[in-house]
Amino acid sequence: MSKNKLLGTVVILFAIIVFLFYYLQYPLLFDAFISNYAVKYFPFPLP
Amino acid sequence: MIELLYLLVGWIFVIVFGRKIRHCFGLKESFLLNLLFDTAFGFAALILVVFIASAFHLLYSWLLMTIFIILFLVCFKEFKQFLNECKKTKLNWLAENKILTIVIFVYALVNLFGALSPIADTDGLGYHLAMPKLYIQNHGFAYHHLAVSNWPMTFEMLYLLALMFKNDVLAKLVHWLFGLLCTLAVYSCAKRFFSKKSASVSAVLFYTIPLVALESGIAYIDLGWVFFAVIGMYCFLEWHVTDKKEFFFPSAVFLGVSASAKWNGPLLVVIVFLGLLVRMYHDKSLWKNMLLFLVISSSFSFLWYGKNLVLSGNPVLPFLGSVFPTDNWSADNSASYSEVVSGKEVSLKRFILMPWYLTISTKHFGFGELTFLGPVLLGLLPLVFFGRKNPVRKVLLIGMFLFYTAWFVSSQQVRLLFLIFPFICVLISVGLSENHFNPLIKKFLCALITISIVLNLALPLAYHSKGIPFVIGIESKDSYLSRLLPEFAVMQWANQNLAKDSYTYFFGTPHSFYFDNQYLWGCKDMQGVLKIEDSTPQQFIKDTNSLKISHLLVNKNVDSCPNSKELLASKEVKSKLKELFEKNNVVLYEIK
Repeated sequence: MSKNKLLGTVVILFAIIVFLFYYLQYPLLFDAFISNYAVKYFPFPLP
Repeated sequence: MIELLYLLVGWIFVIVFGRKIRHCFGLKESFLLNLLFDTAFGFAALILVVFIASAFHLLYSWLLMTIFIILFLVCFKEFKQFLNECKKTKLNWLAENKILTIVIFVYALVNLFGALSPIADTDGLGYHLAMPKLYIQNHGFAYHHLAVSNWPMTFEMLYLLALMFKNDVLAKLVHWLFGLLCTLAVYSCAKRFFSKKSASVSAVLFYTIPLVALESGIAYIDLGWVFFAVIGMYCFLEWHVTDKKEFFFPSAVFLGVSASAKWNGPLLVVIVFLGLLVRMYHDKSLWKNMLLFLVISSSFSFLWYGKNLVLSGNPVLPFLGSVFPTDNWSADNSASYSEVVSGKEVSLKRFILMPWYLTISTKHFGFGELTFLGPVLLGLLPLVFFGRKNPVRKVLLIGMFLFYTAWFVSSQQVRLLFLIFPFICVLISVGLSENHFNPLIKKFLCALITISIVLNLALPLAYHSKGIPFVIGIESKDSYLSRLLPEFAVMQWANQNLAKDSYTYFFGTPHSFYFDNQYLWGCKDMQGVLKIEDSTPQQFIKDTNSLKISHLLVNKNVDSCPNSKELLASKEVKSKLKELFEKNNVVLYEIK
């Protein structure tokens, strides 16, 4: 395996882990954000 | 909307004023870099002018306007030069990567909705704008029992001008402008020290960090702090790489302004100074310049320490209450304050895992709106270590590591780590563009970045959209603020009905900007005159009488200091209170 391929694989794997964990809990995170900072102040009725 | 015009006129004045100063340093670069240097010099000089006017109680709008008109006339030649350059300049850097420019434009537009609505964020209402308002009322610096009034207020000097000549929206727009200036500074840094290819990407990575987007629409000071740090580091690195002397002292000025913005601001100057010491080891003739660097870069911070010493007796209040004890701020107060701001747990495990906590587990930081960093900074972090050999990368990596370590030991608040984010963005985009990855891998990484850019937009969109009805003119300011701030209606009532010499203590809210009379809020980590936590009802009544506190404003929607509920529910205190006005579960009492 060439150096660049190895580096690319390491970078990709790490990025996938971080993005996966981030977006798996994103609904929870976004929900907390929305309920704390947006929905109750949102001026229009939401569906 | 008219505030945008004020911002443009003010910015042109700042550029012209800064241009005059830049010429004194003999700096001459590209149009974009000149624009950034001029803006930085102009803002730095403006901050000094307002500081001096505040120190000598000369804060009168007519006087400041006269000074500015004279300064403009003195700099009229620079104004004409600037206009000519604007006409000749082709904004190629905007067209380098049209898609990325559009991304920044969309984010800037969303953030603008936040910036154009009246101030409603906690820190802005509590001190970033509340203290400048106090100074305007007093025509100069004034002592306030709140610890926040003794924090360095460098960028608040600009907000003071905004409040004096227009309103809070103009102050927010100044911060919004700093967000864009930071982005341009990041672009310039990447372009100069690495490659043109990486410049646009690093600018977009930085401006689409949710924290940056959210802050761009509120009246905080972090983006100003970061702008001066990035532009200061640009000058320092240029000097380090090329030995061009004309960059050395501007870097001291810019880093000095950045250092004076916050209590932890000097950290960067200390790190740069350590770098200078290492360089002096090889070149002994540097010591004179190093001393000058230290004097210039620390002088901005010492202005604030001096002001604090004169007004409160403690130059570094709220710290070191045991060394500089005063009647209003004791060692106990300092200890409480330090406990709130210091790092929660200092261990090797946490040191290593902290980037993960910062990105994934924001619940560790209380789900605050200003803890969102998005996945790119951590997800692509390995890229910062790879790329062609470059002395700037080495300096940045060492500097970032030292800053992270100092931040971890001193305070683990997400926003205080802000200074390293622009440089991480630069190194990530450099790593991406300089490594000859398989095209498939490159495409995959670009897809991840695109997903994050699109999804990150949801946060500022949700956060800033609450201001849209006000900005497009279908909602009044009062209605907007009543919707956001439960205490607003009560404060308005108090402004109209209470005597001008009344003194009100707030339970459960620090939102003092919209309150016109004398006020106090906070627990023992924020003020040292009214004891709440360890007070008895009798003592509390005695203290309010001795301080001449005549009213209490109680926000029952949120918890206040420990022991507040018990005090307010006690027979002794209840019998002394007369309810004057109530709305949204916020009550204004008169103390009989």
